[in-house]
This record gives sequence, C-alpha cells and structure tokens, in this order.
Amino acid sequence: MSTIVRPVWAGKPKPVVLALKALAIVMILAVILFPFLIVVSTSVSTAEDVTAAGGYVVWPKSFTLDAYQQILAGGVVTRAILVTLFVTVVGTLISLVCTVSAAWALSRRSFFQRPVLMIVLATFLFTPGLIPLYLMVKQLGLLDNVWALILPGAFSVFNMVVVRGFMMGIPQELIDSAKIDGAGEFRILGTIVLPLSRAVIAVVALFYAVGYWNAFFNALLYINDTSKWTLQLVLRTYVLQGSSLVGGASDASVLPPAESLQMAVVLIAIVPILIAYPLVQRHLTKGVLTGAVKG
Amino acid sequence: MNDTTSGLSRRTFLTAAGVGLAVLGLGSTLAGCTPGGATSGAAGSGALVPLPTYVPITKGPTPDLAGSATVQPVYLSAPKEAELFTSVSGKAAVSGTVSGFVISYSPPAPASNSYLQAAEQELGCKLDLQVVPADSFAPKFATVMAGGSVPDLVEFLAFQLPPSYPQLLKAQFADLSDHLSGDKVKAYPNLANLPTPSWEGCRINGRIYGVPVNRPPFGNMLISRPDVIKDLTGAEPAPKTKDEFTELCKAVTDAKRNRYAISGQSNGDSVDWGYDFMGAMFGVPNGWELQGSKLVHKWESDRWLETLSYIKELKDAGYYHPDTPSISGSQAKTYMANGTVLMHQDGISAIIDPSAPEGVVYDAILPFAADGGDGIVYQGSSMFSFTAIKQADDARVKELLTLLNHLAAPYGSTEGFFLQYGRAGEHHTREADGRVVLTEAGSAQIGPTSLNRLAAAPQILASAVPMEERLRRSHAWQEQASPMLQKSPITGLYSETAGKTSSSTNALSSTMNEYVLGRTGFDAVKSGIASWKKSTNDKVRAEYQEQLEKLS
Repeated sequence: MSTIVRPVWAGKPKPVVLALKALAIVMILAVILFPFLIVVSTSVSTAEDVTAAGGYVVWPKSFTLDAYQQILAGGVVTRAILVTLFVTVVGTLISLVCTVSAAWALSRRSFFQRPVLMIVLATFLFTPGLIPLYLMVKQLGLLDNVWALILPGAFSVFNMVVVRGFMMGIPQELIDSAKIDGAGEFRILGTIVLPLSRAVIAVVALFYAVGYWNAFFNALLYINDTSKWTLQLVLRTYVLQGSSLVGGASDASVLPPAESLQMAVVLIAIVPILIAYPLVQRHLTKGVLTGAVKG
Repeated sequence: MNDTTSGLSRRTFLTAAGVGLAVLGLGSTLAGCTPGGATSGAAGSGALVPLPTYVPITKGPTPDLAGSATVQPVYLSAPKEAELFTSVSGKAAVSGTVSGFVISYSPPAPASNSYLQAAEQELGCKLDLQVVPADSFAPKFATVMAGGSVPDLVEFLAFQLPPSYPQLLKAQFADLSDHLSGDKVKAYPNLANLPTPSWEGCRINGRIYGVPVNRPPFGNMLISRPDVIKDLTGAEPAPKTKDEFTELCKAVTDAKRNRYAISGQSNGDSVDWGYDFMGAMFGVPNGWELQGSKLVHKWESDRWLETLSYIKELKDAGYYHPDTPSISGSQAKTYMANGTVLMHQDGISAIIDPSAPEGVVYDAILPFAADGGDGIVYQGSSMFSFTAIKQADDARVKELLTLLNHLAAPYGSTEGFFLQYGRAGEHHTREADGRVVLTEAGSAQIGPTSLNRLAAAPQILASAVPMEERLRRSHAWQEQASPMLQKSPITGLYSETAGKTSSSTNALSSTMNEYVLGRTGFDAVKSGIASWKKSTNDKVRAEYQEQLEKLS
C-alpha cells in the first residue's frame, strides 16, 4: 500500500504547532490593541490617575466621563458632527459623480478630445499653493461657506485615473452590444458600467469620504464662523486647550487632564471611520488592485 | 481584451506631464507670498516717539499684596459688588461692525453665545471676530493678510511675529503714535494703566503700532516643587551658587525611584535643557548685549560655552530626566505634578497652574550667579500680543481706541468684572465665601469669545480655584526677581535676515543638543558657532546695529 505524501502545508498541524500559532497571533493582537487600550483607559481616567501614571493610564483605578462631558457640552461638537456629516456625504456624492463621469468619458477611445483633457486634468495634480487657493475661494464668494470645503477639492485626478484604469478594462464588445440594443451613453453607464465598477467606486468613495471627514485645514482657512467648523477642527482645539494654560489661574474652572482630553478626542474622531470601514472592506481588497494590473 | 490608449501609455503620459508641469510650475508665483521690499526693516522716521505715559489706576479693591510696574498685585478674593468702580464714561459706541482677528486656546463658543450678545450691548457695537486656533494662527494670518481682507483689529503675537511685520504694519495698519505717545494716552485712561514695559514691544522702529495685552515682564524661570524638595533635603530650594545647585540636584535625584532633579523638553527640532535659567546663571546675556557700541549675540560668548558644559555635566550625572529630548511641555508638567521631576523651566504662570492636583506646591528658584553673585532674569516682551488697528481715518481710529480702552478696563471695575465674569446668574454665581464661579455657560462662552485677546487689563494674580499659597509665592518671587530683570538691547527692533535664519539656527541648536547628549564633541559646537556667525549672524548684527544708530 503506497503512502500518500502530502505537502507540509496540507497536512494536519500538530497541536503544539497550533498552540504556537495561536500564541503568536494573540501576541500580535495584544501589541496592536495595547495602544488602543491606553487610549480608552486614559480617556476615562481621573486627573489623579493620569498624574500618578505620568500621563497615560493602562488600566484606570477610577472611572470618569469628565473628558467626554467637557468635549460634548455646549453642543459645539454635536453641531460640528452635523457639519462634517453634511460635507462628507454631499462631498463624496459630488466627487463620485464628477470622477465617474470624467473617468468614463476619458476611458473611451472614441472621445477624441481625450489627450487634451487629460493634459488639462493632469495640471490638477499640482496644488497652486495656499494663498492662490484662498484668493480663488474668496473670489468665488465661498468664504465662510461650507461649500468651500466641498467644491474646490471635489475632483481628484488621482482617483479619476484609478477609476479610468478600471473602466478601460471593461470589454468594448459589451458596450457595442448595448449600443446595438439602442442604449444611450447614460444608460450604458448606469446599467452596465456602474454595476461592474462597484469595487473601484467603493474604494474611491472611501478615499473621498475619509478625506472629507479628516479635512480641517480648509475649514480653518475658509470658515470664520465657528458654528460652521468641522469636527476635526473643533476636536483639535480641545487638544490645544489641554496643552496650554495661557489664561492663567484667574480663568474659568479646572479642566480634565490634557491627556484625557486628547484621548477622548481620538476616540470621537475615529469611531465613525471604524464603523464605516467594515462595510466597504470586502470591496476594498478587490478595488485596491484595480488599475494596478492591466489585462 | 483591453482597449489600448491612442499610442500614449498611462505611465508615459503621467511622467511627461509631471516633468512638463514641474517646469511650468516653477514659474508660477505666489503673489501673496512676496516678501517686503525693505532690507533693514527700518520703517519709521528714525526718531523714537515717547512711550505712553504710565498712569496707574488706584481706584477699586485694595490688593491683598501690592503690585508695581513689574510685580503683579495679588487679590485673594473676587471684588465685592460694592467695591466695583466705573472706569469708562459710557459705551464705546463704535459705528458699524468691528471685525477682529484673534488667537484662541479654547474650543469654539457655542453658536448661541449670550455672553457675546451681552458684550456687544455693553460695548455699544457689533463684533465679528475671527477666532483662530493657536497652532494654525501663522498660516491663517498670512492667508488673511495676503487675501486683502484685513480686519479692523488684528492681534500680533509677541512670540510669533510674522515675517516682514514692520513693513506690514506700515502698509496696512495705523500709526498710533499721534494718539497714544506720551501724555496723549491719557485720553484713554485704561490704556494709560498698562505698564510701560508692555508698550516697548509695540514701538516698532520708533513708532507705536499697537495696544499691548500685558503680561509680567519675566521670561522663563526654573519652576520647582519646594514641598517635595523640603521633604527630601529638609529645606526649600534656595541655591546661591552653581555648586550648591549641583548639590541640590544630586540630593533629590533617585533614578531607582524614578525621580529626577530637572527636566527639559522637546521643541520640535531641538531640545530646551533650561537654557535661559542655566545661561543666566553664567551671565549669558538676554539674546544680545552691547559691548561698547557693538552688539554681541549670546552664543558668541565664552559664557555660553560654559553653560553648555555645565548642562552636559548635569546630564551626564543623571540629574536630567532621561526622556528630556522627547517629552512635550505638557508631559513635563505632568511629571512635575506627580513628583517625577522636581524642577522644570517654564513661564511665571506655571506657579499658579490651576490644573495642578490639590496639595501640590509650585515655586520658582531665585536666580543666582554661578560664582555666588546677583542673578539675572531675562526680561520678556511684557506682553502676550499687541492689537493693531487697520488704517482708517482719524475718527475711526479713535472709535477703535475707545473700544480697546473699554476692553482694557481694570480689575475691580464694573466693566472689567463684566468682561471677566459675564452676567450674574447666567454666566457666573457668587458662592457663600465670596468666590465667583463661572457657570457652565460662562465657561463655554467667556474664554472662547476671546475678547481679552484684543485688549485686557494688566494681568493680576488671582484665582477662581483656591490657591493662596501659590499666589503669595509667585508675588514674593516677583518682588525679589524684579531688580534682576535684564532687558534685551534689540527690543522693538527688526531684522529681515533674522526671520530667514531658522535653518542655520536650527542646525546649530541641533549640534549643541548633540553635544549635551554626548554624540559630538566640543569642537563641533565651536566650529558650528563660527560658521553660523559667518553665514547669518554677522548680517543680522549689521541690521540691528544700523537701526540702533538711526534711533539713538
């Protein structure tokens, strides 16, 4: 009777090997989760615990939500969340419409203006600088307007190139057969191209959404009315508040410790991204490779 | 299977486009970033206008510990209603809306800001303030100035003046010398109440361009934990010589118990090992000194090299906290609060830090000379910032000065009480023991509205949080240290080149840091100083000297 020789990786692993693998995974997980634990623990620690620990607490001895109360009191952060949600959702939609439309048009050989338009769009890769951008936004009458956070940066040439690369891989025969059946360009885009491009659109949508969600510098430059500030800009001021006591002791009440405020800010800022990411994860792996390999 | 591009692959196109556009891009200009034309920075007529006459206001509650032009008075309790006096004769009554540009270290005020509405009623004008987070002040400032939308009142930070600011002030802002110089300031009594050292930084190349926000004149000092040091050594720290200071550091350091005598802090690219305190100990001048008629930078003196050697000696002995090269200022404060570090260089406000845990005592080490003589305290600018007024006709400038005069209402005045505490019941309450405590609305609205960044009364020593001992300690230290103040000879002067030397200065700072850490030798420091002197400092010296000669 012949013995079947299996490759090493196809054999049933020994319990010892399984245990070592599990231990390695647990250790890696611990290394990854440990900083997260410190963030959460410090954010709910009292001033005494933070001071005794030298700044960052691994496991709080007592529990307080002072840092979160400080941040969420007054409705400032709530309002900023609403502003950021509006900018992110509307901005992502507008950006996707612009990007997908341009990518589709530029992916077609029949579009004879393509070389000229590509050269023009390539200039968008180079930022003109802070002050010319400010002057442009000012001249468009967008200063102190939330649309200043959406319109100037609505179109990313990099993302368009990624989407275009994918769309160029869609078989021309598919498009031709749709045309034979009487479909117009918009019908082809809507019923054939977009369903096939779900993965790449999900990826680009995530890029845009994260970009809009994290944007704070544009808000700082273009928005003077603090009630229209985005979440990241408002949260950043809480981080600064904890690191400076310029006003002196004659000012207001005692604040939670700086480190607690900063860690609470970190959590508030990343939780929405942590929630949204798993929803697009299955598309992300496939979509990231889009355009990287031709054929 | 795939359609191909029309003879131009994606990679080729992007490469060619990038190269072509890089060439084009180099030609593009950032018009708003064009530096000013003057090379020496001399923007005035050359003559020094007299500083505003100091007329202290003596009305109002009597301080528990008296102050002076350089020492802050102490008030251990909030003024009672009956003690308040009126410091202005009516509303500021400025026509139209007043726009402003100010820094903030607070989160923004809520959209519904009853304090701002009340302040507008008090002041008699509408306010439209651009409140800018501290870490983004410089780029926003540059953008707003370049964009041409200069607000009526603009805050210039004393510690972060923009490049070519004398030219900017001359081009866009009003020369206030004819309104405030000498006895003319008496038309604005609250502004006349601002101590003279604060006005020095507002006199740019001989002319007055702003109204200061006063701070004590003291630069950095060595803050200590006298309570812990007393427990360890039997006495509060009062070294009189370099050797006594070294002994003190040795006595309180115990690395096994994670306790160190001193901590410095990281400053981004470099490390501050407590240079100001240590340098002053060896007689290093405050930035520059005049030797005869020649300006000499502090780094050019042998005393600076002695300072570096001493710091290295302390570091090698293990008296500095090992994290010094990387820790931030707030981390160092936490180490001070929990006793990990017992001395740290900081500003005077650190003594009365309200976030310090109960029972923690702070004080400052009185400066001394290394060999036992009188110490030096570097005099700072005596202001946090100054507010400049956009160029306008005389009537408008006077209106805005009246507004600033109102905002500078002194402690103990009705106007000052309102500006600090808002409306009773809504923004503050008075406790049974007389303390005034801000309500949640007051805390959320008063500080973030940032009116005190435009103008404010001379800063006093008081606290909403009980800390009588620390207030007294700060006052006592200020009284003893006042005679030791050493002013910089270049106060109010400007060098165009000095604003462009950051890379060579940072390189030299880095070399000095490497020497303290033991990674490079003393010769590297000396040669670094020599080449820095030749490449940038000599030119900076020439520019300052030229202005000194014009103004003398």
